[in-house]
Amino acid sequence: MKIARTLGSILGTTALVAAGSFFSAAPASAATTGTCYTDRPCLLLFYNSAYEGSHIKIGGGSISNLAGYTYPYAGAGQGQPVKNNAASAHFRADSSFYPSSMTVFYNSGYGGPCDRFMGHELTWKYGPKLVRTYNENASVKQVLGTYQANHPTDCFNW
Amino acid sequence: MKRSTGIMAAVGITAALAVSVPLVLTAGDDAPAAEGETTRQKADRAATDPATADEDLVLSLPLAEYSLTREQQVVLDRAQIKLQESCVRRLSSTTLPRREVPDATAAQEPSRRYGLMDLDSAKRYGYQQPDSPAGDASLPRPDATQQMLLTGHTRSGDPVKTYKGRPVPEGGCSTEARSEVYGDHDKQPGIAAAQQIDVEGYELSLRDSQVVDAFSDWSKCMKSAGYSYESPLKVTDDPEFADADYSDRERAVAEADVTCKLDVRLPQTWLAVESAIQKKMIGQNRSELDKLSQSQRRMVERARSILEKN
Repeated sequence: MKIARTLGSILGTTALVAAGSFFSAAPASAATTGTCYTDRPCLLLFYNSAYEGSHIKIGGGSISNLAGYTYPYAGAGQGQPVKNNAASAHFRADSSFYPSSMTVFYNSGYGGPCDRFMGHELTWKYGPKLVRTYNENASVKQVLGTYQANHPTDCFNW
Repeated sequence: MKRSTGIMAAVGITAALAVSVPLVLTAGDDAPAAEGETTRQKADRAATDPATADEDLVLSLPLAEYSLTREQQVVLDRAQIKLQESCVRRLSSTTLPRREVPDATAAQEPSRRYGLMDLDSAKRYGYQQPDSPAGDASLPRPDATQQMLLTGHTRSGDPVKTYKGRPVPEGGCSTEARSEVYGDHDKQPGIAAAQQIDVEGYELSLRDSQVVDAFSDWSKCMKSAGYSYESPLKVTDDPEFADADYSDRERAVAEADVTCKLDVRLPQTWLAVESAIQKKMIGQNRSELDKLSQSQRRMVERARSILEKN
């Protein structure tokens, strides 16, 4: 985690130099995996509960269908599909003052029940077991730069 | 306006009306009881008489009665901001940049719990939902010290215990503010019960014969439009639409999909079925869910009194 956070900071700084703006580290639209960026929320999906086994790092943007993504890192589940095959999650908010969130959906196309992770200023949230999308994680939606009341309400706020 | 376009199209009410209709306050909110019916009553009505439905489908589900409304969430957000501001001022004698929490009337994409229902969105983006651009530079930002006090740690992740001799709350001013507003709400057993109803009720609805029949009607409708899909859940699984880019074909399929869903009254059927299932499950968990509602009410009252204090 700490490594990822530091990596995110480094990448943010690099972007500052490279693009002349702190806020342009991540690609404009397409989702990227493998890296967390400071100006985007980041979600790590793990193959097993309690953050065990291999994971994938979704670092920039939404993915309406996780088909085709596989767990890249060493550990249980490496090389296996991510779609409908994740048990736990880490979430790191972007660096903004405003909440950012990543929501895991039961169906492709952001459908069905969902589990939402939200925070701000690079804080981490932990889901040792996905509640509504355990092994039913088909898509992931990113929202940033707005208040909780304006993040997707699909998952209900309790 | 986007929030209710789908269901509005389904029920033939103009989008203009959707703009003017605020989200309905649920029981548990502090709206006068005489002003309206409960969400549960609304679900009954929305399911049986969709011509009068005036809100997002998810909010018509009986379970929504036990969730925080957007209006309540705005109050909770604003109270936390106020507490964060006073905490940072107390520790550093500086003022945080002002943040505005918009009213809960801001447009929202309609829920896709039952799949895409928004014809306008289907025509524009297919099944995609374009992301907002990364980090808006125009948003106000705290300075480095304020950020450290808010989070309770340095940029490199080391915890900050004191600042200029003053104790920094564990987890920073953000955690302190949240604890003050939420109290021990997160420990409410009703949250787990509600989440379980959310997912198990949905899964049961997928196996209900009325929903299965509606899927079959949808499939026939799609066939006559020239597309072959077993169910609306399968269409979004099509690898052709996995990419964030949306082709003309994806947009055409999505448009036909939404049109067919509305033609076969899929949202109304599904909502009625899932509502009935949820009601039963809520009945079995009534005590915990009522406690959850009480806790939410207390929390919102706390937030309101924080906002009223000078």
